[in-house]
Amino acid sequence: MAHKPSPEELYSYLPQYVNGTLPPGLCSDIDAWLAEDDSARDELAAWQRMHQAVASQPLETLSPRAWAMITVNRRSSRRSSWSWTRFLVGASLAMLTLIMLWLTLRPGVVLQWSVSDDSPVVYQIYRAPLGSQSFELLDELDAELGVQDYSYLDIAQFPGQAYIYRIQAISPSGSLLFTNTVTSQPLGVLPGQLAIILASIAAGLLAASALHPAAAHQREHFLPA
Amino acid sequence: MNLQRTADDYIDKTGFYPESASEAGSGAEAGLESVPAKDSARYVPDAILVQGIARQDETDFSELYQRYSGMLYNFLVRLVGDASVAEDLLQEVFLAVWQGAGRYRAAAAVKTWLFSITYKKAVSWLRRRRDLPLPEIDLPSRSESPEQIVQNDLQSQAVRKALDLLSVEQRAVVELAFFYDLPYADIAEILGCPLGTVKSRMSYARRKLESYLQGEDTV
Repeated sequence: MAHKPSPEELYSYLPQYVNGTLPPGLCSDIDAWLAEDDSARDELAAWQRMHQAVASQPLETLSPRAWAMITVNRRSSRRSSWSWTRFLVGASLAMLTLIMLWLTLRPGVVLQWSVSDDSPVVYQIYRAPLGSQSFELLDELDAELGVQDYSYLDIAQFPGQAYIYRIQAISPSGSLLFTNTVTSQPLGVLPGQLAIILASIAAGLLAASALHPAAAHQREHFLPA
Repeated sequence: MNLQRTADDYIDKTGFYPESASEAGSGAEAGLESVPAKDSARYVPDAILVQGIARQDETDFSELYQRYSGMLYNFLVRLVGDASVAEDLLQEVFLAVWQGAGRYRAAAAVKTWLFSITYKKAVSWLRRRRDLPLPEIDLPSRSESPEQIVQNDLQSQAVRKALDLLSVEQRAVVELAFFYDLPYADIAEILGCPLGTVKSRMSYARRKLESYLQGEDTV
């Protein structure tokens, strides 16, 4: 059996009855209620008067300037999202280029030393920033039979930083045979490092500029009538 | 009081565009002059337009603006009481639509979604301007006789003053129900409140309007 609305519910449905949004089933209930209840008809008339009063308000005309401003603001917001995308792409490519060029070209300090015999020793290479006594072991090289000239390339240098290198020869029994210290000059390797850094930045900028909105096709659009 | 609605009024207020091209004739059945969309054979539903806007389609954005800018603008004017502020807020509404179209879910109709954004913009602005009085709305010039203009103006001004007494929540309910003829369920969704709250606000608004128009209330 269908739910029969209470009088309170019927009263609450009247505004929707007036604006035409009440479901047909409930409209029938309202029609039946109005047919037999004078107060319901008075209530309906009051809602209808209110509906007429509200619906008769004048309409404001929107200026065409509003659309122009929306277009300007929309493009500004799109430009800003474009800018972030371009920045991220450019920065990522610049970092990738930097790593690849650094590992390929290997800008750094080359340490070279010669020995008079080929005793079975281990050469330890230490490094400390200039002015510091905190030496860190960079690498260990085994002496090779018949080889008297050795070299070592250090590419993990901070641009512009001078370092002290210490090369120690350790015998198989662990005793120190000799040690030698040399100071690197940062200016010597700096041009190569700077060249790689600048090339990486250029690659990033090139990628970012390729994503500029001006490079994309823009469709013609019309102002609304 | 001239209660006749022209076809243009009806279209502006309700955004009467059929959800499908096959419904284009319903305006004629209602006794109103049917004004088809610009190209009824290629009418695009609102939800499809929003999908296009999510893909940054400017044509779809322009079409949606054409359909709803008038009604949303008038809604804003009624709520904030200032035409220039309403225009600024309308820009914010459509900018939000442009930026948020990708997050629209078809759980609510596009019209409901648009009105919801618009209402929130108005409420946010009013909260920032709580202490300032609302300016009067300037009426456009009309072509009635002087006597008719005076009579209509008096009644219109009285109605407007009475409506201005309502809170923004009550005013929104009244406008959505009796100017835009929206169902209560849609109004509840737009305002983000229960259905019962919509009914109570409507009842309270009617009592306040009647008491003011009968001279018992003062500004």
